[in-house]
Amino acid sequence: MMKKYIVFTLLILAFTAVTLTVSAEEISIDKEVLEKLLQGQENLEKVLKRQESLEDRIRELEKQVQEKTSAVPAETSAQKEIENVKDEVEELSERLDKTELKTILDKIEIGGEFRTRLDSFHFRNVAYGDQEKKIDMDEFWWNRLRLNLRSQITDNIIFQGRLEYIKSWGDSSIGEIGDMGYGEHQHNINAFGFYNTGSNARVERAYIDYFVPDTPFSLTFGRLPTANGPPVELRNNSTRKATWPTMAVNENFDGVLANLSLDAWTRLKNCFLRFGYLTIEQFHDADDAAKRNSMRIGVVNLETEVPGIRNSLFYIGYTRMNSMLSLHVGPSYPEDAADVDEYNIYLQLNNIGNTGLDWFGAFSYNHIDVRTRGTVLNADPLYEVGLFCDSMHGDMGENRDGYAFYTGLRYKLPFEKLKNPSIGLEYNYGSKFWAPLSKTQNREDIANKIALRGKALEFYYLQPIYEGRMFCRAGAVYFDYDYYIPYVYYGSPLESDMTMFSTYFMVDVRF
Amino acid sequence: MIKKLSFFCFVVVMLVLAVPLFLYPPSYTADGETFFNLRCGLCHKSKGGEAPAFAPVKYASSQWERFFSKNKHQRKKDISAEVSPEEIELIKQYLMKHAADSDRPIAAGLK
Repeated sequence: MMKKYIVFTLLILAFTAVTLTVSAEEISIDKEVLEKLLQGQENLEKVLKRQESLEDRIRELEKQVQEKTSAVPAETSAQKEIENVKDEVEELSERLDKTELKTILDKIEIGGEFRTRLDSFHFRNVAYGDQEKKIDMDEFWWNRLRLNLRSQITDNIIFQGRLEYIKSWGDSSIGEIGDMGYGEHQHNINAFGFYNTGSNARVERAYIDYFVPDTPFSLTFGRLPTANGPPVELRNNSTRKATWPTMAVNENFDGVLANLSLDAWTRLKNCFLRFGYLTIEQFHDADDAAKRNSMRIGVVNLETEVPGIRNSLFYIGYTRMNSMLSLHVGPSYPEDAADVDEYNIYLQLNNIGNTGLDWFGAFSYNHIDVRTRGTVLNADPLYEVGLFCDSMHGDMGENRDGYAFYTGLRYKLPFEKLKNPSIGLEYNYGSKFWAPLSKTQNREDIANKIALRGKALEFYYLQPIYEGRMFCRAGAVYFDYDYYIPYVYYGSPLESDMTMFSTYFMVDVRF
Repeated sequence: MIKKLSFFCFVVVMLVLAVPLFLYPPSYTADGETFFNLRCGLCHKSKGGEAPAFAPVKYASSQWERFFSKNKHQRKKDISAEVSPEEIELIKQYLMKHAADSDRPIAAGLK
């Protein structure tokens, strides 16, 4: 038993020894492998690092390549864009050339004004011989068309003109009241009359402004802008449209004006000194005809904006009318009727203190140096008539002094929803021997209040419809005649108690 | 009697119309023209200016409208620090009101 146990134990020991030996061999083998593995791992890490580095490098290179490859089409695209723009500019340039050519050939700018107006008037105490009667006309319709022309010939030469057409509807006439057989002169005298051009357009103004280069001096010559000046623009919702205030000169004249801008010297704004030479009538001498003197007018005036008051106008002027025409009828008439000196002062303040209130005031004085010899009328008995005098009243050859004043205001109502309509009120007075130059007022109103020897009061309401393009105006005028003149400018003024009340409505469109 | 009455009415109406002057006394506040001269005139001068002088008639009103709506001045110079939006609006109104296609005053010797 013991032997078996010993043998068994020895066997176990031998087995254990053998096992241990084998295990030891196996362990030694694993170490080598492990070392090799460790070595391999280190190498692998190095390789991986190298790989990562290479990958980074590749990515970097790829990026660079991509950038380079992508940059090429961008440049190409930009070039294409530039080419497109160039083409477009080329095309636009060609089109612009055509437009420019057309603009150059279109030498005249044309604008226009069209007006339709309804007047109603009622005369009372109209003298007809020994009787007095009344005259009423409830409706009188008329149109006015103005074509305004302008050409900027060079930087220093400007042409401006205006064609005008005034026509009553249906060729009707109110000459029996306004004309009295003396044509448009009568409008100037008894302050009422319609100037009818029929279907024809007339040249209302056509003149050249020549601005002498590098000087404040300019010349204006031709048919001058002398009609419907301040303050007519207030009633017409426009800007100033003529050189002189209506109380000074309100007729179409041919002549030449020398304008000296004093802005730089005086530091005043819109300051002008003007000298004008105008002609009304020109006559020639002939052996077989009685001599008549040509009528010439000289004007000198100064105008400026009042310092500190924006959009204002101050005007002071002197007008000399040489050789006023004599009445050219009958068996005998003088070479001329009179010389007239006229002095005018005018002030207009627009939009006073931004309140929307405009105001104007004018005063004029005239002295008439009447010829002692007048026109002999072929009447029974024969008698002479001169300017504002006649032998029948025993005042032939007496010098005359007259005056007039004119004032008014316009207020722009603060009603924006109604496009700021305006209301205006005007009053004027002319004395017995007031001798205005205001024929063209009749192109504005049938009732020429500027020429009145008496008093006139007017109220109006002005409604803009499209600012600067269209408006309508409704108004009422009351005339109180103090004097009435029988023969154009000639003969002693006769006292009158005639009155006239007129209402009107008009629509005016500008384009 | 009628003459006296008409003159009396005239005086009364003139006085009534003058009431706004008392209710809204003149403020003499600067308007578009003032800002145009003050702000634009600072650079836009005929002699020695940073930019050439110009007048409202340089453009028609619709062109001025486009100039301001597209803020074209910005392309050449940013003026937002010097000119306020309210002032720009007043200048715009002034330029449009006196643009080349506006109703221009006429008198001998006026350009």
